[in-house]
Amino acid sequence: MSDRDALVDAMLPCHLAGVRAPSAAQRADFWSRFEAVAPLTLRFGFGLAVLLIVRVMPWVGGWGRPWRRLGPEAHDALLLRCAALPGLADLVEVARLVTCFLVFDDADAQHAFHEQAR
Amino acid sequence: MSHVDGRTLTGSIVVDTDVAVVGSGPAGSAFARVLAQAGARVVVLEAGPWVHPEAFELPSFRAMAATYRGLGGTMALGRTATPLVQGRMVGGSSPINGAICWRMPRDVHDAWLAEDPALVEQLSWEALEQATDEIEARWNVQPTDPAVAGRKNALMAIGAEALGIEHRPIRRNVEGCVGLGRCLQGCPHGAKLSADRTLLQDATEHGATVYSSAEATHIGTHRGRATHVEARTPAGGRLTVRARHAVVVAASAVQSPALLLRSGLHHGPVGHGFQGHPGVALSGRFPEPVNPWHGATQGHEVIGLRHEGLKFEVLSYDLTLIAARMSGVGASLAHQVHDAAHWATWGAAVKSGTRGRVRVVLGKTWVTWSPSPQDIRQYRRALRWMGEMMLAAGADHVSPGVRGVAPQLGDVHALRALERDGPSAPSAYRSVMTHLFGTCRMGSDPARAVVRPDFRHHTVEGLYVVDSSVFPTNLGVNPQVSIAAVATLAGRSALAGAR
Repeated sequence: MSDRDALVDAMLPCHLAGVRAPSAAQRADFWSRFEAVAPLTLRFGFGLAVLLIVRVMPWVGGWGRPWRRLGPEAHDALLLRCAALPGLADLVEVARLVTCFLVFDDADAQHAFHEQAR
Repeated sequence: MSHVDGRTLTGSIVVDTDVAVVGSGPAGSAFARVLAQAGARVVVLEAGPWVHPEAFELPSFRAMAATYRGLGGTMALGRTATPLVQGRMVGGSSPINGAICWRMPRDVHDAWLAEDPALVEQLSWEALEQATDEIEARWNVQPTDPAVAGRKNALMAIGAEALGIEHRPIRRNVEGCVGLGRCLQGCPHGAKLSADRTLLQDATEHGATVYSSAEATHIGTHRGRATHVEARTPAGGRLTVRARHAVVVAASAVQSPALLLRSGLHHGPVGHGFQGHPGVALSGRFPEPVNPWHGATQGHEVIGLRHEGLKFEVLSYDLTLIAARMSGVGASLAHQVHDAAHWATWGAAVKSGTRGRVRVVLGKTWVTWSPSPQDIRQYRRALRWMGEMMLAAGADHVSPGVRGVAPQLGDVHALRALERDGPSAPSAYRSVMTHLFGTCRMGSDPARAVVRPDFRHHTVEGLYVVDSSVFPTNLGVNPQVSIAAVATLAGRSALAGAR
């Protein structure tokens, strides 16, 4: 799993949200479109978010292990810490936006959510 | 042939016409309609694609990638970055707006004429009212039918009524709306009577030709007269539209001045005076399901504070942007999403007096604008009032989305404290700007205006600007009807001048 997919999965755990998780094929399709059409500022911001949150913060923040060896609770704590830090908070918002772009990119999944939420 | 898809054009193409119109939004479409109906040959150039209703998609990323400029992320830079929401498609922003219709407020019109009485020659109240009546009739403007409003719109009525603030169903340009709640992604049923489906259609029925996916890059002049427009297509095609009588710029308050600047047409305050309606939004959690994805996207508004420069509207999006606006991360975000059916979101548009600027630097368009301390105070005031109305409508708590403020507020005292003591830093607020104005201002003084009161450029013959960039100020209300009405008057003025 790529770092960006790892960040997406941690940012919005679909099984907790009651949302159908995107398949590998849907992810690949989305990232291809994202790279093609998203403005440079958004692509750069998200790339920076992935780098700092997934690669740097586990070490700088004191977790002492790489992201992949941290569990969901540690991911949550790490994201919350980032959201509270000036500078990183903006990148968390960018990451949240891109996560939502991906997770809700499927109209059928949205309709299914609407129905089960009634 | 009424439509040429620029994506099919390669090589160099030259087209001769009487009038070349840059931009196919409400302004360009209205102007083209008047001229085409009078028998002129009209070519309309549109940078974006022609997207038909059946192609509109629900997910925001897909929708915005196809129809919004910069995926909705074009920014005004300043003390904070403020996203500017603009469509980039045939019809301009009108296919992907909230379908909200307002007549120009009399007080705004009177203020314009008080400052520059010469504007009355084209913008008399009587002429404007007549043009507005025509646009509203063509657009079937009616109050939102309660049958399609949905719970989210009903809650605003309940909250405003409880606090004694004037409110009403929003008047919208729709026909056959079934309350899909997809206005901002484009109505897949074609219920929104946007400019492309009405005014532009009228123009093409009278012989106008639309070139979509053809981005105007330069206005050519010869001996002080506009002669042609150059455009490029995605496949590398170069289109030259030679205009015998007029070149008309209607590309929005960002793209119109940018085109003039790129063309070396620097006369007057082109690019200066950039204004908009910055806005903030607030969400509230209700004990009963709201199902914000059902019902008219923006069906109710609160107008009782318009005299203070504040207007409130129901807002709704697909799940993408509902979730993206939430404050949580990880499990907390997931739980908020799981609860999304219980949330409503309202937005406030601020009639900001703050002005910015549009520039072209190294070939790229830059917009600079910063909210003033007064704007920030208005944001806080707006959040306070929206929050109080939501609580009065029965919300458990509200989420103001302000950095440094508790994510959930549950009583009026906290909301009043937010207004009184909330952050003053612009970066604390999530603000988005819609409705852009003022960058090619009309007026009688060539030192203070780009175009004359009759919309003709002050120094270049045969050149008109007719969109909201000519408006001396913002309106404080949704502008698409006013834009189309003013452009209609501009078209009539052009015809009168040609006779």
